[in-house]
Amino acid sequence: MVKNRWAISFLLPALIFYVFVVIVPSFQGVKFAFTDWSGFTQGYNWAGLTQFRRVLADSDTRGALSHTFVIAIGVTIFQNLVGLLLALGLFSKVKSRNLLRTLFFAPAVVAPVATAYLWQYMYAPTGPINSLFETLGLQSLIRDWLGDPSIVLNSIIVVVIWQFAGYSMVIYLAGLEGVPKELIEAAEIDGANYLHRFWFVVRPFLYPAITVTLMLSIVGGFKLFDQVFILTGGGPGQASQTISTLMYRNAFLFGEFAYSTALAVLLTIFVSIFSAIQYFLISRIDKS
Amino acid sequence: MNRYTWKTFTLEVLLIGFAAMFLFPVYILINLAIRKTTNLDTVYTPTTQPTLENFKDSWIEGGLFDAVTNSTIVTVLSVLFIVLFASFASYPLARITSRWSKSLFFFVIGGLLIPYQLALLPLYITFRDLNLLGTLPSLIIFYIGREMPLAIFLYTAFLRNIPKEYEEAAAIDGAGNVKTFTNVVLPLLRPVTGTVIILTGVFVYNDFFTPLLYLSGTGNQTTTVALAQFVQEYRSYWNLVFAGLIMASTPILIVFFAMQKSVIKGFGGGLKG
Amino acid sequence: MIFRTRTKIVSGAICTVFLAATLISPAVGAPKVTEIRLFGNSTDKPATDAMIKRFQEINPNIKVTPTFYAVTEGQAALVTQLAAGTAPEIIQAKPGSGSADGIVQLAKNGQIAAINRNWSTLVPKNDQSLRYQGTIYGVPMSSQGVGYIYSPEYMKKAGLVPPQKWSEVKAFCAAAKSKGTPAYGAPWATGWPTIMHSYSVTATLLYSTNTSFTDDQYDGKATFAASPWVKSFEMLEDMNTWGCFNASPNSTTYAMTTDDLAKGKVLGWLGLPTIVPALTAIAPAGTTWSFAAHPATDNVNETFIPSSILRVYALNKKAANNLAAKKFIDFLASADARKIFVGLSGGIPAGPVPGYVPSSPAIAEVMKYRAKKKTFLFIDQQWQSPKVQQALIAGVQAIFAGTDTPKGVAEKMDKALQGK
Repeated sequence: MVKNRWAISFLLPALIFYVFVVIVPSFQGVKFAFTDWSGFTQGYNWAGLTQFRRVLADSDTRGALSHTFVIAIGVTIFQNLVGLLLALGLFSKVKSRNLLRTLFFAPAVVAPVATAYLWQYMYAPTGPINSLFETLGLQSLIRDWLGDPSIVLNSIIVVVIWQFAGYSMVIYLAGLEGVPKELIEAAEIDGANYLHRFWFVVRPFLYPAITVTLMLSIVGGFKLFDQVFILTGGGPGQASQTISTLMYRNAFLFGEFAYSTALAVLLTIFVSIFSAIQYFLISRIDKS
Repeated sequence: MNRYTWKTFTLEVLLIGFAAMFLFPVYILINLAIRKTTNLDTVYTPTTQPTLENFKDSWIEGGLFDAVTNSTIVTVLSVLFIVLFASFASYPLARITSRWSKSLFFFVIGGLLIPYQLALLPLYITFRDLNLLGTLPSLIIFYIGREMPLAIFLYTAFLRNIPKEYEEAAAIDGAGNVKTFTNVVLPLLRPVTGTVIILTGVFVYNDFFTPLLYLSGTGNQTTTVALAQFVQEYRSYWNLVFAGLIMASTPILIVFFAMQKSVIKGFGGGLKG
Repeated sequence: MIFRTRTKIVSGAICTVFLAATLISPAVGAPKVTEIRLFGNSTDKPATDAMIKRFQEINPNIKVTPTFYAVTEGQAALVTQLAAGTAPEIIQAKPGSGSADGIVQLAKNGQIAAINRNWSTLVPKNDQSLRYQGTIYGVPMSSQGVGYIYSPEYMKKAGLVPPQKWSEVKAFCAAAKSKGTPAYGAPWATGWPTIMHSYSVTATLLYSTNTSFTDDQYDGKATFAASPWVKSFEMLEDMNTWGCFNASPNSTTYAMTTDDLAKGKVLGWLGLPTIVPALTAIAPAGTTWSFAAHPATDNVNETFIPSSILRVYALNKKAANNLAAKKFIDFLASADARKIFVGLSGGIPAGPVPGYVPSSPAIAEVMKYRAKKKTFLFIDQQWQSPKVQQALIAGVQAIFAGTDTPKGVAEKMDKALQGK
């Protein structure tokens, strides 16, 4: 392999940073999950599976796990749906399509922190949304958007979709542009209607775009912190707590660093299983 | 699909209607930001006597100038090194087909699946012990390492689809690996470099959690952290808060609007690979 | 092509210089003025700014830079900064060990410095809320009390009187509601306001007669679930059924309630007089603010209020040898600073202040209860972990969201107390 010696200098800088920032701390994380490390003091003791036992025994954790999943899946499905619909709508002769494309995409560029504060105001009990419903005589639509545990997760999901549907839209637009026009025209001549054209001609070409945007959405959904932290802080009660906010709470409010890393290990396991399943499903569908 | 028919018109109306609903929060945001604090109209009546003083006040009170400067420094430096290191690293990964190269590639891509929460606290403590917490370099190092998997993935996938002829021609001309890479390959990577710059740049500039942990309380805050602090302090004064939100978002929005076409193109283009 | 390489190298070099400059610049140029930083509570911003101004007048070569946080965000921010080693030299904290920023907790973690100076008069010998293993770690500024904060003017306009017996509460709430102004503002979204009712009620029903209850709990001889704590939650549920609170408490923030109270949209808030300075800034001129103890029984003489030191400052362990910081701590313990602090923040000064006059009728009322010795400290000061208070906060929110019961919340608090 002498002829590939040059590869080392090409790879080294990237690998150094990657290993230092991602690999080593992740392994340390796994290690600390088996201790009673508090982060403040230098020493720690082995604690076996204690942290994991505590994590699984805590009803807050089970709730947080389920909320994290609901948000991740909800965001993924609906962000992609809305993004796809918008892309299909803009992939036409509509005159204002360039302007619309910019408008729908723009929120994705702004910090989630900013949109979260904006939407916190929108969702207030006497905020713009409820006031508008009140004025329009639509009182039945008024809700306690962030204070009602049965809808708080949906409210959070809406905020994320509002910000990032345009992101998915742009990816799908790029995918649509990759579909050979002749095929669509041929189908049109053959008398296929819009739905048929989409399902049989366009859809197969979208799989790369779907794979990419699904992966990005799911990973993003599991990581979600800013919006939940700002909109509800995990409340009311523990109704919107996610793994990320629970980790923050346990590490930086209670000083339980080892417990938090055990939570992170649990999250890693679930994300890996989930990603693997998703990957297999999509590649199965793609092949057929 | 080629003519503007009645169907297209209906679609246009629907889309514009949807856009209006979609932009309702933005309307509220701007409406309140330009409103004097003493004005007590309902939230959605258009402000009749607009003022710009909220923008000035929030910029100053929020310390946004320093914060935006810090964010810009961190973003520019992080993106620069990410592009440099990832593009170089992708060359052997894409061109060498031996087993170790393939394994190394998966080793790096695996980082995409590891939730950042796992490494969060140990890395935090490491930086603390190195006395780097509270400084901008700690963030820059973090982002370079963190974005490496995605950047390498994008570069490598793209590079694998580029034919080797140009490089082989350069090799025949006597160029070494580095020269071949910089003179021949890098220019070909321009589309995906655009994607990497946009994806990582936006992510780094808008990141909140890590700067909150690393920089909270110091004078080195980034825009997101300064914004959060500003909102907490002036929470009752929504006009001021909204003006602050707009001021904090303006830098990145300016960059976006100036480079719209390239941004959106870079997005779609590089991700096809 | 070559141009691009050169550009890359040049820009890389410039950036490296930039990076180096960022690293080096703080060290270059030794300042003539010593700078110290302060971590403060945003409610006390006017008072803190005034104290700093006075200190800088006396010490022109020391500059103090404050940063302010709301209570909830501040707790996590402080712990984060202490863990990161980036926390300011002077820290505004809480007494006791029951909140994340509790003095005893911070001392236990080795994060604040002992400040055993000549303040024995300020911190009584049996006071455990500012001591850890016998040593003093905090400078007390002022005390507060928990009760119903209201404006006599708005109350008179409504033709009502705050209830003095528990049996009067239902009618009081109904009357207030019928006038369109809920009797009690309920900003549960902000978290800490949820504790007020239970602290008040248990002060009367439990701690007034059983001052060693917390010790019994840690000895395994008592639990929240088998104590008047459960009753306090049931009473809260009753108040909710009686329409005492504004709509959607779980989405109502402290800022909203402050605004509503100042403008007369709610009739009162079960909380602390710490809110008075903010109210005075918003309410119509001439509005005064008073205090009524929250009843738990029908015997007025039994009513106790929670009251103790609330505003304290500590010294970051890292600044233990920082002369400027220590000077500031000494200044905080002086009557000069105290006078400024209570003048702008309200509260009962923790030490003598020449010419002191209660800053509001509310404070005067609290002082009456203290004089009658009908007070008990804020109970979280005795809890050894911040988890208990967090369980309480989440529990009240859950009760109002319909996802937990009084017994369930008490049991969760027990679990948190035992550190499970």
